[in-house]
Amino acid sequence: MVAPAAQPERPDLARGGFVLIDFAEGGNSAYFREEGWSGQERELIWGTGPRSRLRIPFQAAGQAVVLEADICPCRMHPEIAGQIVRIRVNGTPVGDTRLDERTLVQCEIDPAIAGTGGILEVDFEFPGFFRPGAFRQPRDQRPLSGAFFLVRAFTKDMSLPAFWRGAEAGKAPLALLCAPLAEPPADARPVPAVAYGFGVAGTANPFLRDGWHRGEEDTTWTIATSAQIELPGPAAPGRYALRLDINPMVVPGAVPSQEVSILLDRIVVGQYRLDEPAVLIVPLPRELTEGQFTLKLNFVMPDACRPIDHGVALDRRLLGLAFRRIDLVPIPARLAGIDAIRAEQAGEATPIASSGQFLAYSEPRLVAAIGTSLGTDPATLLKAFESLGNNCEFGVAQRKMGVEVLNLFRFGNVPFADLMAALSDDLSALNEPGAIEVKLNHAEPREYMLCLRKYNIHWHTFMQEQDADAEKILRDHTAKLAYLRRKFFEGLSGGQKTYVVKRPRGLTVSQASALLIELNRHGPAKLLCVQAAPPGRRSGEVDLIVPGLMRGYLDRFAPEDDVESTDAMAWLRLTANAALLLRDVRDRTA
Amino acid sequence: MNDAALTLALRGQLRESFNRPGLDYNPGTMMRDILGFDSVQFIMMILALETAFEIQLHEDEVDSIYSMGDIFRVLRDKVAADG
Repeated sequence: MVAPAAQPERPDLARGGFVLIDFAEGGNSAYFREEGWSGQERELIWGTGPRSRLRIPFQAAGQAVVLEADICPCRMHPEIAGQIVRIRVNGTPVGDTRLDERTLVQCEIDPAIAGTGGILEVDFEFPGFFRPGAFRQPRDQRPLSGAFFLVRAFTKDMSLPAFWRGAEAGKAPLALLCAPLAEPPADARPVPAVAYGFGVAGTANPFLRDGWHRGEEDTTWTIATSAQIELPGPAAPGRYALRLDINPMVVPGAVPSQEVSILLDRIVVGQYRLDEPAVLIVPLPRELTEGQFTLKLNFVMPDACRPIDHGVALDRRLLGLAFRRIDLVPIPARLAGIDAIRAEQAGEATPIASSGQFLAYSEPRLVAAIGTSLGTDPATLLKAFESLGNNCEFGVAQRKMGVEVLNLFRFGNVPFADLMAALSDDLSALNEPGAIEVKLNHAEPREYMLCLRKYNIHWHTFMQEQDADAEKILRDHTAKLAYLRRKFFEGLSGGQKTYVVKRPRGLTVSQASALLIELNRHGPAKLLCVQAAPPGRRSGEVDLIVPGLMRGYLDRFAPEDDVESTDAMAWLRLTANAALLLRDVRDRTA
Repeated sequence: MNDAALTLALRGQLRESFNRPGLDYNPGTMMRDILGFDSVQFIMMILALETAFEIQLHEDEVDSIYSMGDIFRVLRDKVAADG
């Protein structure tokens, strides 16, 4: 047992061109550590989440600076080999490397980056951080990245002996950082997404390795606590993400969800807990995709279970996830910020910006404030937003504010996973003869409803039983929906709209990103996800999560059987705050 | 096509789309005030106009239509642009 040493009053080594930061108990690291650190352990401190920051007083005096860091990557599970570490100094990427064992990472910082401000702000970025608890053993739920022992910085003219005080003293592998990956040229030809389907005849089948069973028609179950697939690497350099369409094996009351960790080349790239069908975006670190012939993916699901053990079926397979589809999706440059969405898995993602500006105004003053701040009127403002269904509430709010627009999903209802499937299919079934059905609902009086069974979309017709016969309604509305499909894609291509998806329990950033990327296949669409306001958030506030993706909060949604009672002013405040955030982004970009 | 000819052609299309032989073209008439107007009829009218004038109306042009005068404006611009 080492007795805790008294903390020095100031980091007396932080003088001139040399700084040594000691992360051991009694060391001086507390003076330098900012965000992204766990608690003190005897010899080390763990980095947590996607980024661990040091703020180092340092006089570079116009010289190059050598930065060294003694780091052990978090592995803590046999399936995990290591971590990627990227180093950024004063906001500029310096380089990156892969750590598979405790390593002395060394890099040289250009004088222009070190600057003359007397501060080195050093970010250690770990896109492969993970919660060991998601693997069940050990049960540590901290989002760990790397264990830090020592960091030192010194001007290049100094000659210092190598340091290493671990058990492997003198055998420390030295890793020099690779230069940061170059951004793909702005005029690079867009690469199409590559989709792999599952099921008995799925295109993913040649790439499946251990842990799968190909018994179902359109899906493939994992039948072990880990399942591997080796997909062809991307055809061109750039940013990529996986899009996963998956169903978790859940047994109400017994197995409420499935936790899955996704590894690429034995580094964690995503961790999710799923309790319903999901479409997720998993950003892939470029270090693991660039120039790779094969992407070796491993899905680890410690909660996999046998249905027969829970009396829900005679199925004896050890089921975890049913895969419908995996896409390797290029991320357009305008959505490059999506790389950062893994931060959500280390806790709540910090928004880039928030707006609650229009919350304070009463109804008559709100209209004037929108005019003053946004240079528009409520009707024009609301027309720039288009509902993506999940009931008619936003469409009704638009109507209450005098906005009548023809939008495909305005009076439609579609669950999120089905919406994703429909968009991925370019809504092509709307042009297929016989795909749309008409039926009466159970309201009083009964209303004709349209159903597109392939995507599980339902639309109101606002025609009642006595108004017309089913055949005429089907004929007329089939033509109408085909036109609205065309109009929907014209709007997407135009790139001027913000799409609204409402889901009271909220979408994860990963789910929302999947929708944003899907919409951006056609043009630069923006997305506003509306959810119930959690404690501490005010109704009408909007967060900008990443460029193009916003999350808005309402404290009340209209009941399903009384959508007409929607609070149109609340929606107006919400859209005004969203428009303000988008305008600020535009202004900054300009 | 000059304005008079366009007005005449538009009036014919409106009468046919809304099945109202007595319907007159009046630039100030709001579409929603036409007896029996609904979204299905409106879309059928848009499709009929596209066929008759051999044009394609973009979604933002369609969204800018509230009155008969709006249709005239959109058509005149479109026909002129298409040469």
